[in-house]
Amino acid sequence: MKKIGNILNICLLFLSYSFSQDTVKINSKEFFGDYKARQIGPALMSGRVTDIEGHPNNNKTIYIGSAGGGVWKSMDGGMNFFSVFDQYNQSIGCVSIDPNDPDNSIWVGTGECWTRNSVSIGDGIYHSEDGGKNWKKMGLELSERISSIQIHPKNKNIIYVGVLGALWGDSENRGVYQTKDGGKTWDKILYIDEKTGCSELVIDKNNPDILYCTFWEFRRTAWSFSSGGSNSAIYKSIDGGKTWNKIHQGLPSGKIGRMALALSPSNSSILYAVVEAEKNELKGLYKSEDAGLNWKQINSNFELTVRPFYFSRIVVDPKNNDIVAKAGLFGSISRDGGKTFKNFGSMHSDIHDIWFDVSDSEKMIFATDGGVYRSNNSGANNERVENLPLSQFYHVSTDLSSPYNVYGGLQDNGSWVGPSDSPGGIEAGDWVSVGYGDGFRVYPNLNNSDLIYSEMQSGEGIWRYDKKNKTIKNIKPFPEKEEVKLRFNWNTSLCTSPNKPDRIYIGSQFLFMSDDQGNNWKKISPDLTSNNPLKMNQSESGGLSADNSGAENHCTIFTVAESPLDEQWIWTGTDDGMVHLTKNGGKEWINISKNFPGLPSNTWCAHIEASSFDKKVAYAVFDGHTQNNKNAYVYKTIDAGETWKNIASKEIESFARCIQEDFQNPNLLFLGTEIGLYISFDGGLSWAKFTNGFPSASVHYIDLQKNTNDLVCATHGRGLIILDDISFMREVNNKTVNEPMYFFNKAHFYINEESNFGGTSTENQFVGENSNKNALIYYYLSKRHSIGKMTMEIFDEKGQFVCELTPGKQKGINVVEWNFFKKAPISAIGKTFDGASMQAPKVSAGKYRIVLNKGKEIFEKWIDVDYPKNSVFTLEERKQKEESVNECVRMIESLAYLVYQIDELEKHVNNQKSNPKLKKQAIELSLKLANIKSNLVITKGDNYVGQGEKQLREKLSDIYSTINAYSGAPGAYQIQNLKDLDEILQKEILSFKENKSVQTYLNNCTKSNITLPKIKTFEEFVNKK
Amino acid sequence: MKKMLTLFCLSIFSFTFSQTAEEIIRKYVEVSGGINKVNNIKNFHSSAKVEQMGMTIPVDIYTTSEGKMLIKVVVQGMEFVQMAFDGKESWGTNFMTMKPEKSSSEESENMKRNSKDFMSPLFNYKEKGYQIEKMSDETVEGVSCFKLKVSKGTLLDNSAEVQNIDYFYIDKENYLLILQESEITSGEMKGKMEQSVFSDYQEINGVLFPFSMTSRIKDVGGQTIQFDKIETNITLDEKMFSFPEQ
Repeated sequence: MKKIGNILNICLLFLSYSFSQDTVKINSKEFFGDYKARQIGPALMSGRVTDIEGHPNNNKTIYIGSAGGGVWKSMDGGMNFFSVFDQYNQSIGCVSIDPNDPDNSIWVGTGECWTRNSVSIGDGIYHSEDGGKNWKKMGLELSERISSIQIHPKNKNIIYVGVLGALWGDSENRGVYQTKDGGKTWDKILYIDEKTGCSELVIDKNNPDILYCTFWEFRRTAWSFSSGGSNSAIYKSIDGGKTWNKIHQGLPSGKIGRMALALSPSNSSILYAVVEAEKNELKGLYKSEDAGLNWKQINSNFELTVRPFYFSRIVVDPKNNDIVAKAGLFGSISRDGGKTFKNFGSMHSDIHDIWFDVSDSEKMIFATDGGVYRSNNSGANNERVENLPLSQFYHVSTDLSSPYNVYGGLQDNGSWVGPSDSPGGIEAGDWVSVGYGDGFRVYPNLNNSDLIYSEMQSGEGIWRYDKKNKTIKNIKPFPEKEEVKLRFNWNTSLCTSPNKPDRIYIGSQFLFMSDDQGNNWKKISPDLTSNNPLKMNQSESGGLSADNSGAENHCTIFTVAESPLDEQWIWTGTDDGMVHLTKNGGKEWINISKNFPGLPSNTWCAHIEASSFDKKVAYAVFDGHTQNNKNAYVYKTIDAGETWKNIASKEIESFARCIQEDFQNPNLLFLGTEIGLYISFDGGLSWAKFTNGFPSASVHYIDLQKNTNDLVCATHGRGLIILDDISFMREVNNKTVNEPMYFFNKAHFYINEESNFGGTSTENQFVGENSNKNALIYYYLSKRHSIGKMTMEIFDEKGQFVCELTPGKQKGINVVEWNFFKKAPISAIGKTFDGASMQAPKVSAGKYRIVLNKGKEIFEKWIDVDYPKNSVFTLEERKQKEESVNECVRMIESLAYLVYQIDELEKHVNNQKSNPKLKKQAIELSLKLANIKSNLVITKGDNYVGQGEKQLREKLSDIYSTINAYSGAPGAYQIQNLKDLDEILQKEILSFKENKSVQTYLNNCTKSNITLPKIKTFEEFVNKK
Repeated sequence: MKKMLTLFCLSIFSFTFSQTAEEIIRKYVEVSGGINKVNNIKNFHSSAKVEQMGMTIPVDIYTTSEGKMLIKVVVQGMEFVQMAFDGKESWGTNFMTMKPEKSSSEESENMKRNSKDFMSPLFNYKEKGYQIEKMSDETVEGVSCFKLKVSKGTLLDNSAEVQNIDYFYIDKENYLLILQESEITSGEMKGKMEQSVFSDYQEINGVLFPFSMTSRIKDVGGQTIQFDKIETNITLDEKMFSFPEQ
């Protein structure tokens, strides 16, 4: 009976699960409108750049392709770069400029070919016919990695493409492809087998029928790498790719690995090849002086032979075939045809490509793991490009500070903490280094954010850094006596507890827990992996060149999630597809690995998210790409892992890595995938890709900041990207998206009173965008407003007009910002600007009514405006400030009205200078008026250093701007200054009113039947609406 | 009113079949008022305002079919010329001295090369010698749009000839122009796209004019200019376009 009851319960649970929600399907491009993500970089460590391509005859135009950050273009010789490929696959194999139309025709092959463990996957070849402004996909969708694109120098329709292909499995989609119709159709013209791809393809620009290519046999698994085989080779064609011949005379026999290949641009007979051979002594640089007929080994230095899978690029100076540059750990250059090399000067290690300036080859550009470097002296001294935010984060976390800080580690670029907001924007100098090596997971201690936990690759270092006291303790757990070696993943599963601030977890094959900040550890699990010895031979990894960096460590715990609702409930997922749950703090573990329907065995469990609503609810994301499987696997359980349902829908076009559940609306989910961020408003029934300000970059981790509701995404190639305050998304449902107009609920705003002196960045440095501190009014329009007027106004509680705003009119989400300003005072007209009075006063705390006039329809919303939380100013101080500001405004506008009357009178007087009856008087009065005015406003000089002496207007504006700019009470000396100026002002007003010359003139005008000047009332004059 | 009716009819009967760039422009011109009415306009004056940091800044814009242009701005009662072009020379007021200064000869030459764009580069594009090309549809302002590329010859950048191309995004439902963009071809922002977003269309003498225009660099917040009044074929003192005698 109990069993029947259980079955019934499960059925009922699934029924409620299936029918509790409606699908909320949205079209992302038509929905998100003004709501945009902000990219905060940083760029100070940048990220891996894979390829450089320069314009053949304009050294100002340079393109770079990056590992995970798309394509960037410089039009100033490499000083500044801007992204031109945001909407497309961000993993770039190569960029190629068409020599037939180099200003416009650009080809991009996606899929990075420097095949490290964390490399992403491309999705074909793209073409731009306008220098990168617009792109069209031109096929080869299954190519995964494109190593080279060579365009016939006399026929733009003939293009050869080297496809390296799949890394994680067999594929027939590799080899050399050719199109003769500009990319409409492709023929595979050289294919070896499903394991061997084209790693380099070169065309002889002097005779484009001649082509050379290298083929490479290679393979990765999650636990191994193999470079080399009997099918790797160099081929040559002399008939435009119709036939190919292996050209190995003089090259080593046996298995061959990855090879670099370059043809001298200035001498078509000279070729350089860097060969990964079976025997160490036969590895290195080979040269041919007869167009590939014969090869001779000339050098086998470390820099030539190091890590061929990562550095197989050799480049020849465009004018001198003896100058050869080789990518490498540090990179090196030869000036004697390869006989000897010297290393380049200091720059980030791991150099992947090198470009010689076409007009001065001492000027060079380098693609490294740390971005792009420029050199003016052949690489001896190098300067980093500081505006390439290509940082490759593995993870992100946030603290509870205000503004909160973001923490994360980067591929080959350490671990960092930086602010989510900073004066002048988030600058390079705002970031603090908190870890060496490859950086991964970084967490603050939420009770004491001076304590930071960070780590480097394979858990070689796991640190507790005391930022305040400047101490670093390595807290890595060690094996117990007689215990097997601990296996830590490359990206070791470090995390903190949501329940106990001093608790941290570290996963090897066992789960370790510390309740005292890592001082002591308790092993709370058995081996939770498959513990498969066949997957633990990392020392054999690499193929022809040993490569045991820890990147292939396997059978390890990869994700740990303690339930926010019960510290005893802990979920673990491993890189070999095992999922466990303990309900009693690790005493017993339940293996739930078999409960995922449709999931191939041993699929990498990339992330488990324990729900904030119910401890039996959790999400598990599996990433199958290391098994050559690019499907998205996103599972949800509502019964403590007994059953799971895949909630990935067909809208998700690539594999997924991580998920974040909202804290308030369980149907609101965020999914990080290899090609960007997806959002679901219906608990996973449907997903929409978020693209506003969010490139198609790989999202490795997501954190939802608890105080601000900011969604912080760690991308692996475009740095950190923040979706500020996602709270409006909680209201997205079928009712709201079907309203013609819908104001979102957020209605409480805090006046931004922060002030500072700005940042320190220079012109060419990347600065991350700060969050918007204004009141942001969100509404949804089901149709764009195109015809007729649409306005937005703000009124106070008494119905007084405050200001006008510019409403958004697009279909979808509109975000109108109000900076809390009222209208600026009307200032007296002088000869120069009165900058100080241009600033408007801010409103007081209170209720305000937003009125949206859309044609004949009127929509209203009340909002609350409040002073900042934790403000240092009392209400009494604010009252004093507001009264003084109001007094200033009254005085500025009274003076403006006085000057207006003088100006109007002067115009009138000037018109009477030709009237014989009034001429004399008019001339005299004109001089007197000018004299009066000269004491009221500046009437001469310019707006810079030639400015005249400050007069009453400028003195009033000075005191106004001084008081207005500070939220606290004005000082007594300031109030006294105001009183003094008011006395002068009142005297001037009275003096003008009683001016006898003016009275006489006006009387004479009346007597002469001359119409008197039309003077507005003060109320008419200051009407700001 | 007739234009509104045309607009309504096009909205109701808009078809999804593939249309050529020429057909799209024909419908755009029809919705805008028809080529005769458009061609009847020889000049127009727009009175507008810009809201900025609590200040309302009045702006007056004068343009003529010959490409002459004047943009006058009033700040704190002081009037200055933000930009003017008399068909030969471009100039504006220096904010420091409040005196007029000529633009560089290259800027003037580029203004001259764009001087055929009165009202819209799409009107009479053939006579202007512009090349048009239909590109893939795109969604802008939440609306599915036809995208047209208009090649207008070249501009100068440090004496080099660079292509002068505009892109137009026309609402597929009602053939209104929603967004126009072009690449910045010189200076610090070279390579970035500048955009103008149009809305609040109203009919003036049978021709539709946008009464709201937001100018921005792509993906960066912009500045909206709101038009209060547009008057066509007014009597102009041509001198106002020319650099003032000193």
